[in-house]
Amino acid sequence: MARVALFVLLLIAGLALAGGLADAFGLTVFAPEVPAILTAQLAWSGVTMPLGVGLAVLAGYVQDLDAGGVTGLGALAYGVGFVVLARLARRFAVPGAVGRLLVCAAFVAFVDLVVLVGMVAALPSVPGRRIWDPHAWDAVAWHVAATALAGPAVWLVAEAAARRVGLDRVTLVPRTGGADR
Amino acid sequence: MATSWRKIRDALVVVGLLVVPLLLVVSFLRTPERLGPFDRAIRRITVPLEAGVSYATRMVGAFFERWILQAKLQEENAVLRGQMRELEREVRSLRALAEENEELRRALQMREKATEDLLVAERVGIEQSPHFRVIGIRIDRGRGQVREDMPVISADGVVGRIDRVYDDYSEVMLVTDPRSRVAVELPRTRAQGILFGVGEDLCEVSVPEEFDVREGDLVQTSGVDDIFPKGQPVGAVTAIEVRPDGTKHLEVSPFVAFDRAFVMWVVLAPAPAADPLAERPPADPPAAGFSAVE
Repeated sequence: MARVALFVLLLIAGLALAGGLADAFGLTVFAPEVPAILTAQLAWSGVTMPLGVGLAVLAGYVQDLDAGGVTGLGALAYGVGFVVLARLARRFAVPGAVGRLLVCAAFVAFVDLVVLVGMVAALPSVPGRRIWDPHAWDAVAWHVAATALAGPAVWLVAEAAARRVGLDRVTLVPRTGGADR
Repeated sequence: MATSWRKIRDALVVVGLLVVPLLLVVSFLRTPERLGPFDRAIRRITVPLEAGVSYATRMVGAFFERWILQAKLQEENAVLRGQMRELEREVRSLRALAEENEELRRALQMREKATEDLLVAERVGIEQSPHFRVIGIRIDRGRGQVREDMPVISADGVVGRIDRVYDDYSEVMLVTDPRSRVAVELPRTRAQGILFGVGEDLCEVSVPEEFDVREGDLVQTSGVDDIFPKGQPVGAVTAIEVRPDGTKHLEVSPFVAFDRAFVMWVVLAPAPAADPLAERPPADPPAAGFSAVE
C-alpha cells in the first residue's frame, strides 16, 4: 500500500510540478513523461497486475485530463503499456540506471506514439485539411525535443523517491511472476 | 486450483480496467447528437476532474512563475525603474512648463488690463538669504531700457523697484528689503501709510489707531509716492499690534512669491490721468440745412 500511495503522490506532485513548470515557461509539452516514467518504474516494483493496471490507467487518465486530448486514449495506452512492461519484467533484468532510463524512454515513446496516432485519427475530417503539414511536424519535433530534455530530470526525481522507500531494490532484478502476484 | 482462479480473476480485472478507457475513448469521440446517458454521465464526471487538474497545474505554475522567473522579473524591474526615472524627469519638466505657461497666461491677462506703460522682464538670477529666502532679483533689462527706482510688478502684485542698473541686467530691490519704502493704503478703510521692508517675506506699516483694521485686509499701493502706480496689490495684513504712540502696527505678507516669480514688468511710465470728459455724453450735433427762426 505504501508503494501505491507513493505512486499516486508522486503522480500528482510530478504532474503538477511538470505542468506548472511548463505553464511557467509557456510550454505544453512537459507533462506526458511524468506519469509515463512513474508507470514504467511501477512495472518493476512488484505490484500486482490488477493494481498496476489500475494505477497505470489512472495515470493515463490524469494525463488525458491535463493534456486535453482524447479522453481515455492515454489511459488505454498506459494500461496496455503497463501489461506489456510487466510481462517483460518477469523475464528480463534491467541493470543499472541507464537501463532503467532507456526503458522509461521507450515507454514514454510508446505512450506518446499511441496518443499521437489516436489524436490524428480522431481529428474530424475537414475538406482541405492536411494532417501532416509542416506545422504539424514542427509541433511533433518540438514535443520530442522537450520530452528528451525534461524526461531525464523527471526520471531522476522518480528514481530518488523510489530509492528512498526501497523500490529500487526490486527494479533491478527480473521478476518471476511478481507482477502477477 | 486457487491459484488458477486467482489468475482468471486478475485477468478479468485487468481486461475490465482496460475496457474502461476504451469506453471513454468511444464515448468522447461521439458527436453531441449521438450522446447516450452513459456518455453524458462520463462527461459529467470528467469535466470537474479536468477542471481540478487544470486548476492544480495552474496553481503550481503560478508558484513557479513567481519563484523561478524571479530573476527575469528583477531584470524587468530594473528596466522599468529606469523608465520610471525617465518618465519622472519628463513629468517634472512638463510640470515646470505648465507652471511657466500658467504664469505667462496670468501675465498676459494682466498686461491687457494694465494701463501703465510696461516693459516685460524675465528673471535671470536671484539673491538668497542664509535661510534660502529670495532677498533680491536680477532681471534681463539693463541700461537704456530701465532706470533706477522704476517700479517692478508681477501678476500677483508689487515686486519692488529697480535698485541698480547694469549694462545687460538690473537688480530689483524687493518690497521686503529693509531699504524699501512704498506708499500704501488699505482700500477697505482708506487708511494710508508707508510700507517698510523688514527682511525675509515680511513688511510692516503703521496706520492711525482709529482705523478698523483686520487680519487679511488687502494692502495696495496708494500712488502718493509718485513711484508706484496706484492700486497695485502688495500683500495682506497678517498681524496687528496697537502701540502706545496711538498707532496700529501691521505686519504685511506680500502676495508675490519671489522664489516663483519668473516674469514681471517694469513700469516705464505711470498711467495717464483720467480724461474728465470721458464719461460725459456727447452734445447733440447741430442740424445741418436748417437755421433758427429769428
